Amino acid sequence: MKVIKNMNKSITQNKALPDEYRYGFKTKTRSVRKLDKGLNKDIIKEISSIKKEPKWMLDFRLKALELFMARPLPDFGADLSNLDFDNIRYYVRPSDRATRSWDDVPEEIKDTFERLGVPQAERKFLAGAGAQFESEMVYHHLKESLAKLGVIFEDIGEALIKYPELFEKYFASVVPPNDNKFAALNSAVWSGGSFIYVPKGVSVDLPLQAYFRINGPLMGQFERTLIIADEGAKVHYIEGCTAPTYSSQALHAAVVEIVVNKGARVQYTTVQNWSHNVYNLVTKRAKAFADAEMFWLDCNIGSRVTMKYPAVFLMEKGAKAEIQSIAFAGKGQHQDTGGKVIHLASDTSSTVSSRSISKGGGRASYRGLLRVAPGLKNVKSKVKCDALLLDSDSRSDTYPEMKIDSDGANIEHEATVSKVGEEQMFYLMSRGLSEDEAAAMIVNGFIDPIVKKFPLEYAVEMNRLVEMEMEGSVG
Amino acid sequence: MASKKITEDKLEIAGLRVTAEGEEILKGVDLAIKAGEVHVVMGPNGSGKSTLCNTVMGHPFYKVTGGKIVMNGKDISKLSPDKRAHAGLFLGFQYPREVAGITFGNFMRIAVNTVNKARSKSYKAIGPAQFYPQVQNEMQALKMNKKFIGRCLNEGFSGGEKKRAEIVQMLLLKPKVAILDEIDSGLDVDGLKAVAEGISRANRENGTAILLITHYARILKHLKPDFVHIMSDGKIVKSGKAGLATAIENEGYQKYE
Amino acid sequence: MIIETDKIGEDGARTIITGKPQAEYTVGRGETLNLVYFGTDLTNGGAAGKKRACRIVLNGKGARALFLGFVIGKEDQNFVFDASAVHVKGETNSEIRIKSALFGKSRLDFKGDLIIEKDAQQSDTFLASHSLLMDEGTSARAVPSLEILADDVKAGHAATAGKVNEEDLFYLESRGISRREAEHLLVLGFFEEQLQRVPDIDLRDSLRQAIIKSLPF
Repeated sequence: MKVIKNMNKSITQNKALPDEYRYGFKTKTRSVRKLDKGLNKDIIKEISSIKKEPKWMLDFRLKALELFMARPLPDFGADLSNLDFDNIRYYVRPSDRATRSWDDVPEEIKDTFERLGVPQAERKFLAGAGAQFESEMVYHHLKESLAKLGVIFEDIGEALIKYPELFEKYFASVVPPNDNKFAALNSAVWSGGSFIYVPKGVSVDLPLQAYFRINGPLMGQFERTLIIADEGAKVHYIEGCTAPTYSSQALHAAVVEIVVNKGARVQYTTVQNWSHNVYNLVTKRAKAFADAEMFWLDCNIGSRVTMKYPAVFLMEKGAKAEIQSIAFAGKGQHQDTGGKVIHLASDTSSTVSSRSISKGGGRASYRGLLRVAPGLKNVKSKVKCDALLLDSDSRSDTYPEMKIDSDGANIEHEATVSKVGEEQMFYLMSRGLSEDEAAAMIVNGFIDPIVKKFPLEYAVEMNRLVEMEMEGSVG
Repeated sequence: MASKKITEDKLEIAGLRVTAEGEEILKGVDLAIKAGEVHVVMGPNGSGKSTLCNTVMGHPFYKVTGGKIVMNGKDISKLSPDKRAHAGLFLGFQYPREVAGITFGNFMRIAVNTVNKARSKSYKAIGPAQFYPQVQNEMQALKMNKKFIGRCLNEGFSGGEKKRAEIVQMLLLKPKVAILDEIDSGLDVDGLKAVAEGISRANRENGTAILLITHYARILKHLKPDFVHIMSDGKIVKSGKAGLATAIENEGYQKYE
Repeated sequence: MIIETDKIGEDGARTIITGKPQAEYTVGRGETLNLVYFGTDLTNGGAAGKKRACRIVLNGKGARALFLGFVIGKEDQNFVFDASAVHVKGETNSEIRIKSALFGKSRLDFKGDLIIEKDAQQSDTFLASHSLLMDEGTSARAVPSLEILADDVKAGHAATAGKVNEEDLFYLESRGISRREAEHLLVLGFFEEQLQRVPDIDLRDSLRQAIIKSLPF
């Protein structure tokens, strides 16, 4: 009953909104620094110089640019032929620096984040929050008590200057620049993102959150996040992303690197709700060492194209990986998502679960990789992907790859594709629900096992987003 | 009623200590079971009952760190499970495995031939035509559908049918000592009665000594034990006659935890 | 040992058993095709070492296709196999099932593609790949893809890879059967489950014999 009540409420709310994408509003801002469109050595040198970076980082960027130029577009996944790299703006600085107080954030930008509910969320249930607008973090704040325990939660650019040793040790150690074309691009032009270090044995009980907002047209956002959980540490990081709706394209090519040391646990939660003109091409990877646990919780609702396969390398005995993901592909969208687990040690286990929905001509593809290296003992893995097709214009694909090179492995894989059942619809409608409401309820039920893993505040939001996506979708 | 078949067979468990995944579960268990006897081990969940069953049968997951398992004077604690079966042990599983592609009848024929060959060199292997009626007789005695002989081992059997099939296996293999791990769970009233009758018959006709592991006393309405043992935290904490089970039924395990 | 058969059963269904499936089979309106691929060794014209690919096109309403693959790999044999089923018309049904037991250093590289095209409404398709990795050094690779462009369909796949189940082994051993024989029984049982899908009882028997002879124990 509770679900029905919530749903009716949100649908009424939604009807009052003229724009189908709730976060589509634009903010007029005056940027501090805005580089020309296009990509070349000079742009890179300028970014590095604005950021007053050490020489090694400039060299790293220039080398990465060469790798990016040399690599072809991927031969799998979504159609990227309309992506024009010369028509993207690679760096826009919205304010002078990342402040620690919302009061110091420039008024228009603060207003944007307030409309997105970011400061409110921080006050209510977060241990710390960050906010990125265009190319830079404008705000980063961590609870005093955690800072005292040695927890670091910083704008990654500042971390490069403040913690050079830690930075150099881990930066690009999980995702090397030549990993793929978009990791190379990010390595060349990266700006913004979070740097998190949790010292030995420290447990950050409330989540840390960063919010990413693209505001201008033809903008590229290339944040880079590096999370290090030292031995026995625990942390949960949440990222949210939105952008205004433009007819022109925008590009988001992030790199996320996570090091989960012995006995540590990291959860990384994503609520991706970019507007439908964003190409979201992201590389996310974690290395989990002895008895460590990595959990990717990944939800992709927005964007025009998403190609993203959160990965875990299980490096040492006892390491565990879990990847849970939801993809929603509506009209004109292609969600090419999934997960990768590479078992490199004995006594490791992994669970991958994906649920996708295709409607209105959208295409959702699951792409996964499961590898078990030779000579391992006691490796367990379960992969399950389920797809729901809402109409005959939509498409669902499953491309799981399994490479099992060890007899000490126990691997299970399952996939299903189904449509919304007529009986189910009839039953719900016989109880007075409209077609849209009934379909929304079925979709919410379908993704519920994964939504349950979100913190409560986000789970409610997720259900609401689905209901909005489902508006007028049936018939 | 025919008198019990008496032999000199004996299973002795002495000071048995067992660990699993580094944790000690059995902390010195002593039990002696002689031919023809019926023993019941009762105890709360997690007291180590199933570990005892699996260890005596030789499950590779459990590591014996101390003590002995002696069958007729011979330490069998290092033998593989099949060799223990040849020596006369039987384990009725709490959760019998479902095995694809092997029919119940064929599986039993292979098992009976293998076990008897190992027990006696002069044994002549039995063919299906001769053996299947025997299986079906036992199935009928346990009130099982005879057609299940052609089904794959435990596949599509209900919880109760699996338990009845375990008893059929025990009756066909004629072990010296049968350990029955919660054989009474998942059975309805009729099933419980049929299973208890099968156990009594194995005990009476084949001289099979019974070590019955259970959580509840309800099966003891149909089956009179000679000895009752209470297990708690990896040890036998009290042994007595049938009356002890009644006391447990009335008072619960709390006193022994 | 290799069996080659191509026959039409009383019910009109065509059953083919082969170690060398050809490139493409088209199944028309109301037709049924059972294709059994039996891959064992190199010497008798088996499939090891060479890439095999077969494609089944379901080109008429009500067409049905069943592909059953049996692979026993030994020593350093390398089986590379692609199987696909394309549903062009509606109310079609396909299943692709491959079971392999890999010994020594043998490997299986299996790619399965199920495609349901836009007009193939009310079709039903399933793909399964199960591998038993009997020895260290064996390797099973599988890419079971689904591409679904129609909505009123049922589609799924399942895959497993690993050793013979340790609990099953214990259960059989506890009944007096040696570990080696228990493994043998479990491998036969593993294939038997799929053998039951072979429609002709005589073919089923000769395939069973061929499997028993091919097993290295």
